[in-house]
Amino acid sequence: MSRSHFDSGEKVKKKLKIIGFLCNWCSYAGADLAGTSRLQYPADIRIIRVPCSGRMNPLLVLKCLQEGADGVLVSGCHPGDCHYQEGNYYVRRRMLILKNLLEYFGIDKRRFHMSWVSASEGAKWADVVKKVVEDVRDACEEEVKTAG
Amino acid sequence: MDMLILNKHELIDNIKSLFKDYEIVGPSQLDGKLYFRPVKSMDEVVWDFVNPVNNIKDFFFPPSQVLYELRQDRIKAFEPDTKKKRIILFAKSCDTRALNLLDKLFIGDYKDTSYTARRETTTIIGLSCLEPADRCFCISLGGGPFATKGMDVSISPVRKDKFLLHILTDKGKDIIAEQGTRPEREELSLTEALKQKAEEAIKRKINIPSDFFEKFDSDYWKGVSQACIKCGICTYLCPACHCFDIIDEGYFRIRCWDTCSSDTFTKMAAGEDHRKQKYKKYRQRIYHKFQYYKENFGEIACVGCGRCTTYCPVKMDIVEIVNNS
Amino acid sequence: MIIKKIKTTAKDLLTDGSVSLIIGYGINGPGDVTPVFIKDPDDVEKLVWNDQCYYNLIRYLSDRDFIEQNNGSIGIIIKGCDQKSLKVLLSESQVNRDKIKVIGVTCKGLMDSDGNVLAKCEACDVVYPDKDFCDVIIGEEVKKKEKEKDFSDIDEIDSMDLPDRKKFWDNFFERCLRCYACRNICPLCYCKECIMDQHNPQWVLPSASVVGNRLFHIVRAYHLTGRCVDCGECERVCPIGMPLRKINRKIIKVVKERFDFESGKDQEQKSPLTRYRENDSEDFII
Repeated sequence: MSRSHFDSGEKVKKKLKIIGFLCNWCSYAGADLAGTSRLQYPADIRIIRVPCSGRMNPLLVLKCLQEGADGVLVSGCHPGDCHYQEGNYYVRRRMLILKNLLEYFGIDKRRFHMSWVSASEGAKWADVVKKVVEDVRDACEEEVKTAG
Repeated sequence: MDMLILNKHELIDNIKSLFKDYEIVGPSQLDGKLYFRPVKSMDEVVWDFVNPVNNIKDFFFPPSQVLYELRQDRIKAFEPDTKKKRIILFAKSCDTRALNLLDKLFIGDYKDTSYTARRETTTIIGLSCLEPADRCFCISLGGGPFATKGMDVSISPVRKDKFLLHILTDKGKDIIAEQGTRPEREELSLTEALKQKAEEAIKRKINIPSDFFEKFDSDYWKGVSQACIKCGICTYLCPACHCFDIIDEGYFRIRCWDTCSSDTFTKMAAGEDHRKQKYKKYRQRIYHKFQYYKENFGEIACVGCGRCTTYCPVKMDIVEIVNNS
Repeated sequence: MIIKKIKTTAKDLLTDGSVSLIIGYGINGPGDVTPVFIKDPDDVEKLVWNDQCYYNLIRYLSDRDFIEQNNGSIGIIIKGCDQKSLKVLLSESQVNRDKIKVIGVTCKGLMDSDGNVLAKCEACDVVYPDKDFCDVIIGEEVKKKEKEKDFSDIDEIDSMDLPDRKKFWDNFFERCLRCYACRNICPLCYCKECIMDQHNPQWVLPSASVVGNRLFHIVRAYHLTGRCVDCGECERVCPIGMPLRKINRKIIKVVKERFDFESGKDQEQKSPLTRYRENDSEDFII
């Protein structure tokens, strides 16, 4: 019986489902820049825009994983550059705990990532996505191998 | 029906031969606690025990059960997998008696198909209680450590490594091979003596006051329920509690256990809750067992296994609370 | 004698009207210790004190309905470890300190039914409640034990391979009944509406399945980040014996190492998640 789950399922799909939560002011603009600069990066990520990375509730990440996402990426402004002064400092603490906790429960740490991407870093955004996709794919493959 | 005397190894051999065709569920240790759970061999099964954490209700009315899957183009109903028949080993008389109580509800005016299917394909081998726990009070509710209600086969010890088998139903006849000897009078009296000893060991008694129903509006309930933390342990571990909720999880519609102590149990769509206060929730549990179930089905929905008292986080004692009401 | 003093103190407080209710420990029918609620000065004889007084009675102070029903002053008997939870509640403005009278009792460690000292008591560093925090202190003064926190049990799990760690926890998640006793016994779980009870949006799968249970336990522990004082009540009440302290202590460890914070020390301190340092470590960020 297939139910929504944390794990990616029986075999690694060609296309992954990675959810990206991007802050409106930096990372979203950075991803936009990557697009307008025609930079190539894997299309396995689906982007959800949030007003500030400080808006990120750990539940959003957990819910994504529960509903079957292969990985989650949270991205915001560099420390000190937050549009709301300090949102990303708070989320940094929050996500640190979450990452530790996920790992503690045996969920591969490569499934959850966090990055700082500013509005001018289109190239960095493309690199971040490439790395995340690669990591998530590795995590999925390893899980299938150990399960089988 | 039939009575047999078997040695322990004969009995074990008989059960071992059933592993091929049946899924066997028995009391077995896991992380230092005892559960009724599927076992792979007789070595895992524990013979001397008092009530395990869970009870055999789980195998007829599971904690959560997918009813159907609902997608835009299709509906798929899930029936319980009963191709492989199941045997429940060493159920205690309190648990099997509770099953009889649940039958009245689930196979009553309305038939619950999955419960009925599981009930029909399960054979229950009961084991008499030699050393009841100090929280047990089954006798005052019409049961007893050697009662056989609800069992297909009952096993009572005669002496060490010798057992008296009662084969009570046709289902029981199917699984017990023709073997052993007929019981002698002496052996029957030995079992009788053990029975009396076990019954004497049960000191606790529940006495429902004659004016129990009139006490409904009494402030007594406010007082006794103060310690309650509104968790679901008493109802989830109770062999006779049977409330459930139907919820949606994505495409799946699921029936899962619910508890009258939870904050959402009586919450209506608009947010109104007619049983908001803690004492009303607790009173509901007591009255459902000792009043409403009796009115509806003629029997009290408590079998005296003592799990609710044993596992209650704040050790609220149902016997004391009912007796003093 | 500690119990004699508890009784006289309770009686005095009730007779002179400074409190209208005493929350303490009593005995139930089969002889187990249970929380008792005493309003009548003559009932103080019901109070007991022994090494089975597990309950963290602070739990009742964070129960809104309970406070509503008993709106007078409340006297409460606490152990050293319980006072930490009270301090967290005070720091979160959940309790009106003026309306409670804290009776601190020296505790020499609790025993389980087999006579072994509880694990949490082995690691305890507050045998003697704070003098300037409690209104009354009963029992002789014991020197504070300065103990380095021992997280070897957490390291043990951390050192497991990923699949083994998952198996270790899933073994418990398979059996978790979602009775919510761990949530409800917790003195710091006081949300008016728990997200576990919400159906729209449905954050966590409400049925008892491995997936939903895993998320429930992550979220329950997460909500206690920088708040959990390791009173161990959740682990004690769990009917399936899930090692819940191992989850809570993992977070306690991370919070201590990364944010240099310990909860329940001071009622003025703010939770680590409501503060930040500009130079917090970000080794996990790409």
